[in-house]
Amino acid sequence: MGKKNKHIRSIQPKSFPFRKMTLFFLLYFSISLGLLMIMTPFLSVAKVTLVRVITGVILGDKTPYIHNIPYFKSISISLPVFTGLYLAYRKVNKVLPISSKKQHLTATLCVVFLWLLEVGSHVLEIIVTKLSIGSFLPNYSLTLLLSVGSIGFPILLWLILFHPSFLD
Amino acid sequence: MKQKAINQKNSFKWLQNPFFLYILITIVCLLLLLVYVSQASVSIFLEKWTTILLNSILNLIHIKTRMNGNLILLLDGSQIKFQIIPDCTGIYPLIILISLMAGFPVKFLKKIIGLGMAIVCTFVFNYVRLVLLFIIGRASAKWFDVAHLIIWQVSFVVFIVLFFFGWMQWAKKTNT
Repeated sequence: MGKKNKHIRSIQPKSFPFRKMTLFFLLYFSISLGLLMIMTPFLSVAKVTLVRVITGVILGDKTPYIHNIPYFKSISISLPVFTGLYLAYRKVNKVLPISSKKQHLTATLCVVFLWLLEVGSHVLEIIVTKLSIGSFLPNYSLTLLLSVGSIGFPILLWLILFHPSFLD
Repeated sequence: MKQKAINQKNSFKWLQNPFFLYILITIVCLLLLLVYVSQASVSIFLEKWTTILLNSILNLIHIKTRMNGNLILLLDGSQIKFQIIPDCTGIYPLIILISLMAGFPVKFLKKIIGLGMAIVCTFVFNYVRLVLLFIIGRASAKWFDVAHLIIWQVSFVVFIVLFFFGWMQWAKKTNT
C-alpha cells in the first residue's frame, strides 16, 4: 500500500502552477463579479425581503423598519471569490477526484450557502442591534461573519471541499 | 487488549492527515486571532494608531486634517469627517493571511518570513487604500461610497489571494 502511494506521489506534478492559477482566478473573479453586478438589483431585493421575513418571525412586534439599500451596498463579495477559485482550480487542475456534474452541484450549493450565510449575518446584526446585546459573543460572531467571513469563508470552503493538490 | 490498542491507534489516524491538520490549524488560528483582536483594548489601540498614522501621512502630502479621537476632520472648510473603525485598520485581511499560512506544510522559517511580509504588505496596502479613499471622498461623496464598498473590498480580496498564492509558490519552490 505504502509502495503504491509512493508511486502515485512520484508521478504527480511536483510543482503546482500557481501563476496560472492566479491569472485564471483574476479572470474568473472579474467575470463572476461582473455577472453579480448585473444580478445585484434582483439579489438585493431578495436579500432585503428575506431579512425582513426572518427578523419578523424572530422579533415579532419589535421588528425595526428595514429600508431598501442601494444596490452596490448589497454586493456579496464572497460569491465571486468562491466562484473564481473554483473555476480557476478546475481550469488548471484537469484531474479532479469527483465527477464534473457532482462538482458543479457542490459548487452551486456552496454559492447558495454563502449567500444565505450573509443573509443570516445581517439578521443577526439587526437582532443584536435591536435588543442592544453588548456582550462579547454576539459582537465576535458578527465580526467573524461580516468582516472576516466575506473573504475567509469562501477560501476555507474551497480548500475544504475541493482539497487542492498543492496541500499534499 | 492488543486489538483495542490497534483500534484506538487507528481512530486517531485522521489526525496524521496533513490536509486535515492544515484546515484545523487554519480554523483554530483564525478563531483565536479574532478573539484577540476583538478585545476592546486591542481594537482601541489599532484604531488609535491607524488614526494617528493616517493623519500624519495626510498632512505630509499636504491634505490638511485634524484628529479628534478616532475621527479625522478635513480642514478645507468642507466639514467632512472620517471615522476610523476596526475594519479600517487592515487587521482582518492580515488575520486571514496569517491563518492560511500558519498550517501550510513548509519550514517554520518560511512561515516567519511570510508573516513579516504579510504584515508589511497589508500595512502599506491599507494606508494606500485609506489615503486614496480620503482623496476620493474629498472629491465626491457618491464615488467615496462606491470606492469604499466595492473597489477596495475587491482589491483586498485580490491582494489576499495574490499574496497567498505568491507565498505558496515561493515557499514550495525553495522548500526542496
